[in-house]
Amino acid sequence: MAGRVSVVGGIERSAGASAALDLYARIGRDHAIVQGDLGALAPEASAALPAMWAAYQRHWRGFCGSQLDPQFCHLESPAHVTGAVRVANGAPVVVVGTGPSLRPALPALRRQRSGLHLFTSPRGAEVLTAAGIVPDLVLVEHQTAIDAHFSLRDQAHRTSAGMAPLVAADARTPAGLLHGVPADRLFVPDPLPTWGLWPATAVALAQLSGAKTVGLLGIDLGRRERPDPLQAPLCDLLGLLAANATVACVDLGDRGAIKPHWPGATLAGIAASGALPPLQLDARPRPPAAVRCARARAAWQRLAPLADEARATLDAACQVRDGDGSAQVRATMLDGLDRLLAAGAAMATRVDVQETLGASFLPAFWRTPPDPALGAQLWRSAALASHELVHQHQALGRRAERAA
Amino acid sequence: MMRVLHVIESLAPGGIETTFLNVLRAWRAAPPWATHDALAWSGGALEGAYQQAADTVTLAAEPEAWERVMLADYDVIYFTFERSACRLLPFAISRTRAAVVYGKGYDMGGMFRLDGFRWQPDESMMWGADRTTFTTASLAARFAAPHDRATVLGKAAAVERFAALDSVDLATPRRIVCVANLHARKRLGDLVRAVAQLRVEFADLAVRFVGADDGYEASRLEALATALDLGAACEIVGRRVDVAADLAVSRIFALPSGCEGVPTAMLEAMAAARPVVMTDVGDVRSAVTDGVEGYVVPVGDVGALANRLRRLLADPSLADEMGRAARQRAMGHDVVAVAARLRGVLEQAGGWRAA
Repeated sequence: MAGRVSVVGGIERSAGASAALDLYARIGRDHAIVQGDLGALAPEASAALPAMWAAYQRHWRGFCGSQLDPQFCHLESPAHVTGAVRVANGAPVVVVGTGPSLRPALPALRRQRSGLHLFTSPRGAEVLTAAGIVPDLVLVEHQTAIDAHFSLRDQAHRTSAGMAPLVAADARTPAGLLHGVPADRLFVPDPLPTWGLWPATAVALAQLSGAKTVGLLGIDLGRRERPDPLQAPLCDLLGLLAANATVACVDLGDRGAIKPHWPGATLAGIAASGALPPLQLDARPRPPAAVRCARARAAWQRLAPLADEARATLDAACQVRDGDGSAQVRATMLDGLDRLLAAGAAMATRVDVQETLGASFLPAFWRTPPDPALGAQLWRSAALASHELVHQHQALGRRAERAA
Repeated sequence: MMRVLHVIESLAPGGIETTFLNVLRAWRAAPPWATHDALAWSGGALEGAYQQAADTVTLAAEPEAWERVMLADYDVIYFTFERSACRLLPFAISRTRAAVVYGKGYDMGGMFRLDGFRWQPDESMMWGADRTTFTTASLAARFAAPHDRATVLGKAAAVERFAALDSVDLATPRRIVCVANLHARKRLGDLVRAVAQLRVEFADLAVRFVGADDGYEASRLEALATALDLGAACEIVGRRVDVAADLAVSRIFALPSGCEGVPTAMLEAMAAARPVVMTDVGDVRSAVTDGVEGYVVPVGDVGALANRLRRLLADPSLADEMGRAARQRAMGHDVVAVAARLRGVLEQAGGWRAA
């Protein structure tokens, strides 16, 4: 079983897997609105692009929000290092979820434990530790700020996550969720935004770790005879990850939905013989909190003109809403909305609005703009986008002041 | 006739889904004034009931399908959950002419707001929508919404269905019933521990848990009950379509939860004239006054929970008195009145006048 972490330098990735995963990460960061925004691609990535881009559009309309942090939790993230994990000698990694196929597999998992590395979620860690199994790595990643707050209220997860030798926490994780985790076990995983879905991130971490086999257990996505349509995005992402992988990807659950490119296998069939050495963490220091706050303050200043624009647009939108039909007010509102939409043409602004402010509605309109034929009814789009922008900008300003 | 699309996150038996189903049923029982289509991300145990109560039910998991439905020339689109609203409301207001009403109840955004968690998109959607509804005035007060466009509907439950149940007497089995989905945040283990303490004085005491299991909580409760030597006195019966029979054979309703709004199950138990013992969470106090319809105890305080339960178990006349008070108060949460208020909002938003 894995023990205490040792930190070593340098990250080695196989070129093919790395190119596909890097593309995957670049799309998932939501910086690109059109494919051309992704820049030059390696040949392997070019081949993978059409399917990835199609899934991104189909399930997320080109904006998955995986980097949104509307509570600004990244500013007080307690992790000091960022990095990636590495297994020795191609040892297998199993990504463990809490779907129905996990419970019947627990006895076999206990038997084969010494020949496997286990990556899981805080919830998975709770179930595993209750069964006497300590996972090697717990990944803390939430799709939305609401999900993160939900976990924060659910005290039970904390202790189990803290027992693992390594805890990989998304930079947006509320510090309160990591209170029980010793600092020397905690890191922020290298940028692998797998579109906000933790099993995909865990699989990507495993694929980059040097494992020769990556298995899924308890990631069921519905039943074999009735896949859960809500899990279709994750199913597609896992399929993309496996299709472009240079390692074997297998499904160890016996009752979940069929996952494309994840053929079935058994725990005994993939477990290494003999005990495995601990996971290694290839780590490097993260910018300290003061630097992160300084960067946020700088972004806040850069965004001040846009926030002013949004404030004026919001005022005009409210007047139109309340029945002011004057041409001047309407023009102010429409011009303001146009300028807010035009601001999305600059990638740097997109990054600031999305990642620093954590705003989601204006970015959604950058992808799917309001219908100009709605005329005065556009007050709704103008109010929605500008209200969020104004208030997130104010909230960040207060936060930056407090930090200063 | 007016055309309304109701966007609901799932058709699983949660508080909001059940309440809204009862609103649809109330409209269905009255003269028709609109067509009601429902759009949900995923199905669940309420699917059949929704199909009976609504004109159409569409289950769709992909944005393209959501958008196709929303573009079908509705007069009003009504959103009931923050997550689905966050993804679909921008499209509804920017690509359709339908009036958009955002319904803010005790979904996660609503419940978390009560303890100070401010998720900005929730409030911004109130500024982008034509109208907003709030379940309670207390919830409305926590949002800086355009209040001239906001309406407090009141918390609804199908209380009439439970009003026919006999009130508590000595013949009622000495059982505590808890109706809630089985999940760690409900802190159901606290009730098991309290019952274990009380079994020293009341050897025939039992506790019954009614609700869907999340896959782990039921086995955790079973293990705890076994460790505390409760044996068959701890009954975990799973989800029920109708909980009236469970309430009828119980003296007290208790919910030790750490996260609630105004629980529908609590109101149903109150309508059934059961005294309630609740934790001080969410807006529970908007429906229960400590010492009148039951008791309100601090979250996680097993001793206080046991003490209040003991008082009711030891004094059946007190339980009966509080149960009757609970019934009276629950009647103020009648779904028919709430359905009428919501109809008014939707008609106003859609520019329609009531016939």
